[in-house]
Amino acid sequence: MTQGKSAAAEQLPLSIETAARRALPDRLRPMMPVHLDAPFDDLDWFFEPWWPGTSALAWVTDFKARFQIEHLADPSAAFPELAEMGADFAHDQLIVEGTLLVLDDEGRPDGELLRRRLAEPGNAVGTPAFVASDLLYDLGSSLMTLPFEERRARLGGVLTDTERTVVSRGLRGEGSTLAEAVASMGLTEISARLLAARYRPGVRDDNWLRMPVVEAPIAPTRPLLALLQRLPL
Amino acid sequence: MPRAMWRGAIQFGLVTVPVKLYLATEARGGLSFNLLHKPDMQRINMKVHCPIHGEIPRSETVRGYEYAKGQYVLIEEADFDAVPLKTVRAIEIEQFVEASRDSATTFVKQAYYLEPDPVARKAFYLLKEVLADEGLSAICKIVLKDREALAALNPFSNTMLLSTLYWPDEIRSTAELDLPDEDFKFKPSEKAMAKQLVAAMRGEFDPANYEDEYRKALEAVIEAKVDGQPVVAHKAAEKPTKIADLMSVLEASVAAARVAKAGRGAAAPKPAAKKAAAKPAAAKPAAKAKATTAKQKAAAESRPKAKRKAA
Repeated sequence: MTQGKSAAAEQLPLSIETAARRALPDRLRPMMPVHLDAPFDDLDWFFEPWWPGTSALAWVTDFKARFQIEHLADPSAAFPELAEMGADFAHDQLIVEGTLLVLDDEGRPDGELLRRRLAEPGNAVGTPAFVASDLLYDLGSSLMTLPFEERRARLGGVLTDTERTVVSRGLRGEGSTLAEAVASMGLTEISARLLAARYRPGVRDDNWLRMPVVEAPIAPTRPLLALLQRLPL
Repeated sequence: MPRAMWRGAIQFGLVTVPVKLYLATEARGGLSFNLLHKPDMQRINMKVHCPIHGEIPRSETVRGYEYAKGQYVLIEEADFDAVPLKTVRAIEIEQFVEASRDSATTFVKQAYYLEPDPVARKAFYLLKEVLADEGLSAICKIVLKDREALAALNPFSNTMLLSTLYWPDEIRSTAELDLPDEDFKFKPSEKAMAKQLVAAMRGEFDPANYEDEYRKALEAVIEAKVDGQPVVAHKAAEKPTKIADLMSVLEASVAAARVAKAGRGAAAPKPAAKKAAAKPAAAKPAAKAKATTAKQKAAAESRPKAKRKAA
């Protein structure tokens, strides 16, 4: 199907989209979050878990996916199962921002399995998955100047959850509630994005925050401890 | 704002009209239910099962086409790639035909509303007007969800409707039915009587007069059950097996955190801030929502610093 699609694209010289398609950059420096000490509640912000994986940008071209992680590295060879992820999107010529995870046999994200995969691309341990958080290019056009709220709405419009690809879940305004929920799952951090903010590639931007789920300097990693934190003392 | 299904362009001759497609209908026929395991009320998982090896990962599955009983040929991604497709991202008009009720255009799979791109509105409405004046339908091809579909384009209300059609080999012949060959002769009096009956029941079709009574009755039954007994709470499964399950666990954890929070009420450490977050609509004045980007940016810059100090 891939060949058919690109051939057909060549036959649409008058279409606006065709011209824009060529604009998808080969690489993109990701925006980076600012660290904060504790969760907060504010309706201008959208909170989601900071999944224990590696932040990644995914390029979807001809309905195939390739990835870029820190230092602009391409780890696609370590995630052969995700090459077909492009087919999970309703549109082509996308750049999607999200997190690459490797799940263990019980479906929990496992940082160690992820490290082993990245270290040895042939080592297909665990089950990889991609959690999408932001849509930076759609149909070859940049959405980076749009507010995050609009980009996220569009992301929901082009991605339907599958076994390997999902749209990240989160809460508007309720940072402390999300932090409690995330802590009860044994995870340690959440992320907050300003709904009105544009995406600024290559910048450490305080419109995107990363914070531990509890105010203690060392976040508990055990669900039991997290439960104790939830008691109304 | 509904969500566009597809973006592309109507093509005929040298004219290109960029449009978006929206689903014109939604299936509300039945209410859908989830299968639960009765003792613990958990949603059951659909596992991929092989009769020889038992449960297998989905990654071990391949697509086979059964060309004879029990005989399969393996079809791989590369084979799909080899299928040439022309009409990507375009609604290619093939021909214009008389809009008639006795043609293959009667069998509609799905109807979509069209929304023209603002720059192409004039061309869009010109095409609509010509179709309406001439009583024509445009027969076209479009690729939707990786499949080429045959479709008819017709004027509809203040836009146009694209109806995807069944391919000719998908439409069954009436020859399979037991239908008489002879023409019936009717007496004028019989025909007059039937016409009179029809005239008596004639009216304007108003769909609002009709509703799905079965669905309504079933909804009433469900409502009564929900009122009469505690709703079965969906608890997080212990062992999620895939990313979608992980998201379900998160959703369940958020629900649990909300309940826990509501239970704590005023005993929470920072009641004012948390209450405001719990009631988004009521707590924030409308002016805040309309704040300019600059203002929000200023807020964003001040807040984290303040928080940092507080913590």
